[in-house]
Amino acid sequence: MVRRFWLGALGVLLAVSLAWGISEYRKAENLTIISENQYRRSLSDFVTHLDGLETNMAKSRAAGTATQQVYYLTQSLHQSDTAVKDLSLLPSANYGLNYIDQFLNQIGDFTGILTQQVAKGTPPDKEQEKTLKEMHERLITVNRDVQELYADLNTEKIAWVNKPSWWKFWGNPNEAAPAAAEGNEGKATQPASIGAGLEQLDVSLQKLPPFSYSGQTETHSVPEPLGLPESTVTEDQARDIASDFLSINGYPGASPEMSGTSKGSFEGYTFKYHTATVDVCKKGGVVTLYRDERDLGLQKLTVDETASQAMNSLKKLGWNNFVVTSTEDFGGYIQLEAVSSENGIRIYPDKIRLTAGRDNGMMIGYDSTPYWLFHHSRPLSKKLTKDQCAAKLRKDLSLKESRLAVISLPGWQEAFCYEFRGTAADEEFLIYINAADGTEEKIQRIIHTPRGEFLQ
Amino acid sequence: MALRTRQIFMLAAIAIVLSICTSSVSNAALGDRTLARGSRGPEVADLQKRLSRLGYVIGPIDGIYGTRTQARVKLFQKEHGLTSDGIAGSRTIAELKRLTGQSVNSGGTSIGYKNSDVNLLARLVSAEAKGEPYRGQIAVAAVVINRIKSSSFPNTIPDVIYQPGAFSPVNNGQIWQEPVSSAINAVNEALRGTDPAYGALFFFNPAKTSNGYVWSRPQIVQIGHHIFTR
Repeated sequence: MVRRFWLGALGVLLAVSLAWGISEYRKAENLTIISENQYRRSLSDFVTHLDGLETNMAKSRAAGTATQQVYYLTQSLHQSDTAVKDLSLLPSANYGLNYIDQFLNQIGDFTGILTQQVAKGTPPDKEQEKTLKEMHERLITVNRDVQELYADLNTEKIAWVNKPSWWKFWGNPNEAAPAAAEGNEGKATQPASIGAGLEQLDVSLQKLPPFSYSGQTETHSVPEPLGLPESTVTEDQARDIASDFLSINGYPGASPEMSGTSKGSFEGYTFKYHTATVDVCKKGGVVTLYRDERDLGLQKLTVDETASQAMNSLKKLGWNNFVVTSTEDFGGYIQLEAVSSENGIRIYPDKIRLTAGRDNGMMIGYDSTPYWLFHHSRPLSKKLTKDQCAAKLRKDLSLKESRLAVISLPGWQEAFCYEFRGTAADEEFLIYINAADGTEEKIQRIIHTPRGEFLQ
Repeated sequence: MALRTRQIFMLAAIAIVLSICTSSVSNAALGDRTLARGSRGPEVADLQKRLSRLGYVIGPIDGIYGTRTQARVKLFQKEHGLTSDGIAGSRTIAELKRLTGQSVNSGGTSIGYKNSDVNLLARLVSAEAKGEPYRGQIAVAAVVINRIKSSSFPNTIPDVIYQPGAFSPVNNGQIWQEPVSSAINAVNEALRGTDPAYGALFFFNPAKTSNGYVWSRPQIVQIGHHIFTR
């Protein structure tokens, strides 16, 4: 009797687990179809955008007018960005940082820079023409190989994901089959899956000579710091510098201990004292970064009072002639940016960032790396008057203020400009007109975030 | 009979007063009254949503001011220089509303939060560097910004973060956990340009990584458990 009961119970359990298994299998099969569709869609998009990119790059090389060249370069920029996105949606963990991805990013970067340059009226120089030609020629190879792979994959019944099978039920259904090994003659054999095919393609493309473009970027950058003093300091000297810095920032007589070193452009020492860390650069013996992770006390100061105290601390550290250009209120603390001002000319690249607590106004953060990166002697000469530059602005812009300023441009260039602050159609802008040739160099939109003014 | 009529009349009056009170509570906006442990209603839910948005994770937004909400209010107050009593009074609510408000243009038109990238990057920082020094959290965010600047990587925060195989929290789903407040602050500093990683493009935890590629990269600095490399 008891035996029969247990046999019956076992039978019921078996039936329930079988039903559950079938249900899970069906769910897995549905998910596989959904994934397969999404991956195939992304691959089709990738192939289409890569092909469009190749066509637009070819046209950009042939364009005879700036307007047409800007149009085709812009198209190239957008299609390279989109192709990178398509690629990122494909389920391979391995080719993200590899050839196609990196090459497409290089194209996007280069065409972005070139678009801005041509739009401002400067055609590509010989070197840029050469880079564009080499990029396009390399892209033809990549595009041809991708299309061949795509055509092969479309004629074979190869899937992204292995269909769930009863034997591999516990495995990862999204795992693509491994790439097939290359044959003796270097020609790829038929891949077992689409993912494997793309990985195989990437491996074969990496055998091409490396593409050397690493030039300008969309953001302002220099290869090495321009402003660091020539002298070098020892660890003991650096400790004294850190101690002096801490004394001015609320830790008189501090005896910091070295907690590490850093390499690279700002090779130096990191010192620690209670909750604070100070980075001192070996070259020049300057403090580059400071951070105090102390608990903040109750708000006792207004934003203006805090900013004023932070600027006083900056003066005590030897930074004179700096003006506050932006302040953000985070509640317990503020972040502000101050830039060097020479004879009323704002040098925006020579910037120092500060963070200060609203409890006592002391600095809790200090970052002078932009100053040391970009500071250098600048021969500033203007050929145009303020009125001549103002004449370049839209007529419906209502001007609020203006001044001379040095601004950073993409890559390592700078421009000496008139900065005009004005409003048009309920929007506020900073517009920079080059004081030498009247070029409209940059437009920044001013918005008001909950923390303060922000430039877009 | 007269007594019974009077009782019915009284009950009806109480019901009307109660219904008015209840409807005024349910339509109340955040800031209309002080909220404290035991408070309930849509304005508590609003408070919880705003706290979560700033990285003070509550869990389910249930409109009940319980111990968890009280603890998060206390932490928010402590980190924003307010009296840390766990009671959401006018000052706390005003600060919370200010920091979670929308941006406006010069004409005063709301133009959205303008911080979708902040949240995504903060999720990554939170997943990769929760428990690391604050400086280390800024450094992790700075690595993403440095990649955007590099010509070898994509040009937007989502593209860099979702680049295949780039960050393990994307692969294992940890990126979908809500970010902690320090990660949000760290991201705001990194977006301003602060970079304690001094231009690093990669970082790894030496105790957990055997990846030959990252070990082969020129090392710049170690912050907490992470080594930052070029």
